[in-house]
Amino acid sequence: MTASTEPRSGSDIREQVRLRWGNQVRPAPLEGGRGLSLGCAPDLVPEVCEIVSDRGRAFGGLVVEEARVGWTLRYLFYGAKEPGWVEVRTDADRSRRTYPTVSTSVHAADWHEREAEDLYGLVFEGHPRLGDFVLHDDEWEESVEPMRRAFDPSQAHRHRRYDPDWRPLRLVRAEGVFVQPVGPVFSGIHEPVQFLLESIGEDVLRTVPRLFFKYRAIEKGLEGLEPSEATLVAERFAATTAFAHALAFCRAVEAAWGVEVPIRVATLRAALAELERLRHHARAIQSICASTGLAVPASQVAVVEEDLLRASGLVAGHRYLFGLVVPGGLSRDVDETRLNAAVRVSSLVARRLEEIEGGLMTTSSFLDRLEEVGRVGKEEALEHGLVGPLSRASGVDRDLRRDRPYAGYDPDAISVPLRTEGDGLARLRVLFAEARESVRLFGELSGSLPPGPVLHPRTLTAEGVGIGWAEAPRGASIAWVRLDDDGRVARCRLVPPSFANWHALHLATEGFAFQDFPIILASLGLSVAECDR
Amino acid sequence: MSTWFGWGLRSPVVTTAAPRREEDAPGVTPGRPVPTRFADESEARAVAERCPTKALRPEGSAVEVELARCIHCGRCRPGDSGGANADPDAGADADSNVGVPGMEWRADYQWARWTCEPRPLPREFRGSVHIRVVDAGDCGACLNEVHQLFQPHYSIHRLGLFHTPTPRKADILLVVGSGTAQMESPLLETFRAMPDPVRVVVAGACALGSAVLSPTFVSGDGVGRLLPVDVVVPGHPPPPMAILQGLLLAAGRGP
Repeated sequence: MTASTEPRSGSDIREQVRLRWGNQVRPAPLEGGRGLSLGCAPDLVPEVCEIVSDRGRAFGGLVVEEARVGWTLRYLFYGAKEPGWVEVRTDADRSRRTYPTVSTSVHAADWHEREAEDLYGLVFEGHPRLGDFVLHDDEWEESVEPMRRAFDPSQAHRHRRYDPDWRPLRLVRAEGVFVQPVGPVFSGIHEPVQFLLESIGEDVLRTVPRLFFKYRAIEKGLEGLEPSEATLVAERFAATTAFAHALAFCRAVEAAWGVEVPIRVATLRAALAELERLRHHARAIQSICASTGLAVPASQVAVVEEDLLRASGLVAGHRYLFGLVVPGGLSRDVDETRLNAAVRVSSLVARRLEEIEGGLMTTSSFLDRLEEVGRVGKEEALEHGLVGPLSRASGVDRDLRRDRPYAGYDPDAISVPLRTEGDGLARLRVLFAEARESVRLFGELSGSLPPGPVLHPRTLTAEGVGIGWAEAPRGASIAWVRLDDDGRVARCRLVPPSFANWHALHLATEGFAFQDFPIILASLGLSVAECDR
Repeated sequence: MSTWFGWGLRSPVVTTAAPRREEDAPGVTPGRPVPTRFADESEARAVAERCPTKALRPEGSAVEVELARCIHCGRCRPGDSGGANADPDAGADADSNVGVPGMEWRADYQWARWTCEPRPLPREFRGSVHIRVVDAGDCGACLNEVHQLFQPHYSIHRLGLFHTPTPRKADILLVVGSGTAQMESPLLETFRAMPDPVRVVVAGACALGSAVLSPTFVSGDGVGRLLPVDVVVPGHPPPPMAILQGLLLAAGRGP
């Protein structure tokens, strides 16, 4: 890290940058939200990013835009302190394909650059691991660059059947070491992903995940859609946390339009987001119990999950809360009698979860399998930009509901549970604590619904840029949207939590015993659909 | 351990009585629009136009439903003109939507059907049916609903339906998801590894090829292009009860 002697206050980042680079770095107001934009030449980007992230800011994503005149790359950062969002931006000529990598100074940008290399054909010089990422090398020609403007996604594109002899670029090679591929179709009811377990005897040295079997080119598919149509897509790329993703996307559109949603909408959105979090956490707890083979609590929590799915169906008319959030508000008002019924279900759920947690914490055979298993340290979590309950179990005190408040959340009323052990048990306890907090917030927000309309009076067709975010159940979900002159989506970048959190897999699975693999995997609570997009 | 055992025994039974009796707990299904007759042609056309996925088709003064395209968004319900299509001047006031005509909705779940002449599994196979589930690009909802089937509320083991990790032992291939380009080969290999007789059940609007996202070069446009499909279960996602009905059809135990 670069030594920084300047005072540690956010507003001084402008000053610090000016002292160091003079007018080579141009500060400007941020497009699309409250914050700061720092424009500079491509070669300066890694250094500026390092300074920006050095102030405890989290990396929010890399947004690549291909305009008619040239490329724009934006590295987004956010933090609790002012000025909130900070982007490091560079504009370059169309012909420029090569950029210095940021991943060596801000490691969290690693996968963003790999993705951009694969989908745009940009090269990030100095990046240690480019190639075979989103589009698997054995199936596609390198010349397929689907995010380029000229690429027509509706045209069928010939791809090869996958090659059984495909080998990753790097593998451990030593005597007695073998690599066991698991997946993409493997035991249980799982999403498709491949794990390459590099093992020696019973011990696994390293795990390399191969993702994107479910790549659906969602970001490309959003282009050209009207915001309300686009919302249908943006909420469906990862359905188990659909409400949060739809919320992030719609807030980005609302920021681009420059509208504030009515107060009733803000409160209802926060309440329903908590219902979704509660349901998601119940499922995550269920998976952990099931992975250790503890059938009774696994079944008990599964009952809770279905009860919550039914409660969601009762309130929203859809078990996964689809179709409720629209740009500017909600598609329909919520019946308060039904909402109160759901609140009653949630308090029963809270009592149930408390009993189950009590039981689990005295089951030593269960605790043995979680304690000190799949450890992720705080430094590692920060360096790789992990988010959500996963990072909070490693002591990273970040939560967008409190740090960059949105919807109807009162930042002072939110307590963020933290653990520092970073192991499977810490993650389980954070899930239980967050579920408790969600029940409380859901009840309070539903009980204090202000009257009023549920849709902003005007639906606009304005051009603009907006940044939207939400603390999804698995962590920060960020959407960056540009609307064109017709008010349609020109570019949309979706940064879901699992895209960052899959980094945790290789951190948590270094040098572990083979039989712990399912448990570690369950305790990380990663979603493939959310990452693959 | 013994504590959990006792706990399990003491817990009330939550399992549905279906298929012996219809399950009518609230929230168990999102429901669906059914063909509805309206006052005149223009009213029918106006209601059909509210559908974002073109699942509604006006036929004279009636509106027909193509269930495979329905995403249960509820925009065609009476009194609900849907946020996106709300009148810009009146949209702010929820009460102004009351009285807007809409489709009739039914809160059922029995909508799985054969795509071919019914050819259920032979009688010898019906008592103990093994299912291999493959996610071929699903958003997570369908897969989660399939997961619920094996949990206490539905507990389909009681009906002799089991999940199996290996395709070699499977009788039914249950596929969710649109069939993405990079899942094509793994899906086909799973299918080829299954011994005859095999039945393919496909669940969810995306797997039926009518996703909200118009097909791109990678997203796939349904499993029908890749596999011989026997039973389809529309829905977005289909609730567990609907998937169960689809499985029972394939197993030769459905209505």
